[in-house]
Amino acid sequence: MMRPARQALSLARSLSRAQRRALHQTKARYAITNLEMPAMSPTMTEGGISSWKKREGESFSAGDVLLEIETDKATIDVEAQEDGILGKIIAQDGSKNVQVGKVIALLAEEGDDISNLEAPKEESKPAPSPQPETQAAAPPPPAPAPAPQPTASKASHHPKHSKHLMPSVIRLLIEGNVADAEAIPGTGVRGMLTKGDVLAYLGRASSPTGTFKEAKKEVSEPKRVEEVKPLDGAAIRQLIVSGLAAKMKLAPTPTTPATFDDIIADYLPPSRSSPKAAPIPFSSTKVQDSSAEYFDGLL
Amino acid sequence: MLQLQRATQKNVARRLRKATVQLGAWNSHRGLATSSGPYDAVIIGGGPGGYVAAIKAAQLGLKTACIEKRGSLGGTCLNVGCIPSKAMLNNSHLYHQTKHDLQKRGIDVAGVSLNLPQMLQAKEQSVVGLTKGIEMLFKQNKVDYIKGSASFVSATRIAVQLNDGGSTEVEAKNVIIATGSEVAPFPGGAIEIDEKQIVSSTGALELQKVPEKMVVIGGGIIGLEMGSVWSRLGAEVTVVEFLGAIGGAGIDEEVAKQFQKILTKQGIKFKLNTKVLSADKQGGNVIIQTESAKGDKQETLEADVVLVAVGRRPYTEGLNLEAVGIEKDNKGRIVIDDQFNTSVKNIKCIGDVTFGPMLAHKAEEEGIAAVEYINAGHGHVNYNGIPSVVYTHPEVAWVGKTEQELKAAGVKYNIGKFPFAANSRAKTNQDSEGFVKFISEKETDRILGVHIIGPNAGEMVSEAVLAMEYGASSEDIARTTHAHPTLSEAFKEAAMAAYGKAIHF
Repeated sequence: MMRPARQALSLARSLSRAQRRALHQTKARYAITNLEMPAMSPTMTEGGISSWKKREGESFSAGDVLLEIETDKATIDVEAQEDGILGKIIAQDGSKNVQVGKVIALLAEEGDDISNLEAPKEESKPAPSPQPETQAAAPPPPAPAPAPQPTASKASHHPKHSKHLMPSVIRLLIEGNVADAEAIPGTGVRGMLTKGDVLAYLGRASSPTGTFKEAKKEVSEPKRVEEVKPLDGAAIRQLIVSGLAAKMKLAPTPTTPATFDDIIADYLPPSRSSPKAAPIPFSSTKVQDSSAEYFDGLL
Repeated sequence: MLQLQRATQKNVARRLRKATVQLGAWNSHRGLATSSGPYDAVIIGGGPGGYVAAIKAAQLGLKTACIEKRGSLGGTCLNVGCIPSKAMLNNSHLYHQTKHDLQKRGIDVAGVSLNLPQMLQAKEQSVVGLTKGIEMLFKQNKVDYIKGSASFVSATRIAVQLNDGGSTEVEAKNVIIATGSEVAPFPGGAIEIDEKQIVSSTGALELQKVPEKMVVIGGGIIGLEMGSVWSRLGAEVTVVEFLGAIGGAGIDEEVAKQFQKILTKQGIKFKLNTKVLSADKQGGNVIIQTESAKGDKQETLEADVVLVAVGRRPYTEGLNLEAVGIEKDNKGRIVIDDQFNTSVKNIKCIGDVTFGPMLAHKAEEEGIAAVEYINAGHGHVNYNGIPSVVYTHPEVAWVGKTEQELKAAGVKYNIGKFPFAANSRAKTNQDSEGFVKFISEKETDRILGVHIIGPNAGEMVSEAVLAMEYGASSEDIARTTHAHPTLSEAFKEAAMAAYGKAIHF
């Protein structure tokens, strides 16, 4: 008798862990949880239900015995670790060879409407896991449905996206059952999705960067050397003449003295010349510098 | 009417431009480049920012020249900074380990002694090898290397006083100023650096004998690295720092505390919150007067060598910036906008001589971005992803925000910490001091900062930089396979701890 008792204890513990995790993860949006066939030992794959100690709709509190499970080794009480209502019994008294991990009942919380709870459709669970809590913890779909949808099919679904997806993003897209990941705006490099982007999309973060706000970089603006003003005809004439004069004076040994023809040639229709920007000439006054800049902007 | 006027202006402008090209050609005999037209880009300064910019510009097909007056390329970093100090750090670590650590690992070595001249020569060899390497790269990429001091004549014309006599002028469509920084003197000029007894980081790499007592003024990265070198070689080192923590700007407080504990265990003494008033040479020694930061406690220290490591300042000497009207701020930094433009249109500026942390890798990134702006009109440097590394042993490295900064900004965060003492590789190496600390945003798990103190931290931090560049969460790191057994597993486990639980701790 000691052995079954101890088993009951450890089972209860693992169950409670499973339930706590499941409830903790889903409470906010989804109060209905699956009660799955627990594994008594790592090797156990199936068991029978000898009898339910609570009826449908009956509430229970932590510590109450919910049902008795029988295996080839022992009969064990399953205790509830949290308060709740037995919403719907799926595997009735006397059921035999119930697979570990199979949903045997739906649990609800005080105040939940359990009138239209339905047994989940036959799930094709993969090989039973030795740790029941991992399955109990599988989060339900985000849409508030009256009964949990089967979650097993998600495992094969690999989210597709035109850009590379980071590991955390893949997990969230699968868990969140996001059909069209392209609909989520990406704030990462070249529009990649970050974990924050998906969390914000799922409503689990206030923004893609949460409470962190990128500090606005203070861009210093160097004072431009000279305020550039539009030139009128007179100013342009003066500029040309003064520029030429300055060049003539400062060039120590001009190889080709400027002739009237040279100068006038530049006023003839332009010939084909390099499209690249020409250098701004050496100049001795700021006025010239700034006007040269002004022309650079125009061309 | 307005349109007509504009068209006329445009036409006139084109003609004017053409006229000036020809006028410019009158001066052709004066310039190096004018025989075949002006340079597309001239870079002033051949340090990590300048030489990288020059090579990149040449690779992008720009006709490029780099003007450097030191006589060798690589700037402060390669000649008297990062590189030689790492040579000294590595070799002094080997010496110290051989003397104090090998025996317990089962290696008996007899007659270990220091050959300082040889160690300095080994350092010199590394430096020469690397600077020559850059000259090779210049040749390969067809960058014209002009050895001399540059001075602006106009925005597009630079006069160069050549190192081997004579002068020349170059014509440039674009100029990038990358003149870097120099050692900042002691504030107020109370301490004069002679590079023999009172040394800067430059002189500290050249000490001809191991000092008995050394005082380091400034507990930042340079002070701690050079203090470590001479402490390992046998000096009794005391670090005097005005602030309440070591490690310099941007270090996480928790890391700084652990760092100080470890260095103290290695034999370095610390005097924090302490101000140096003066350092005077007396009878072959230096007498240092200090005062507590509050001003209530005075103390006199004696040393045979004093290292002044109180920071660096922008270097623009001889550039004749006034001639073209380039604006500087009150700290002597050249003012730029977010595209590295100075106040003069075709002159850009990068690296230590302008804003931001004075780090070689920051200058390199800026150099490439500035060239890309010239070539294509866009470039990018992510200033949130610039790592800092202290190459002591253990190394200290970080990127992003500190816990204190986030707390001050009201950001909610998770911390994930993993000690190297729980990492199998660190344990087997018997080198397991330190930890990895992740800071991630609470709601989104996005990595905001990573702080590492421990073996190989400097290499490890790159993974954090890459992750942050891509906006990764700590879960993304935690779900990425890290080879076993490696130190990098500690990095992964810290990420696991930030969004869940570490496995091994």
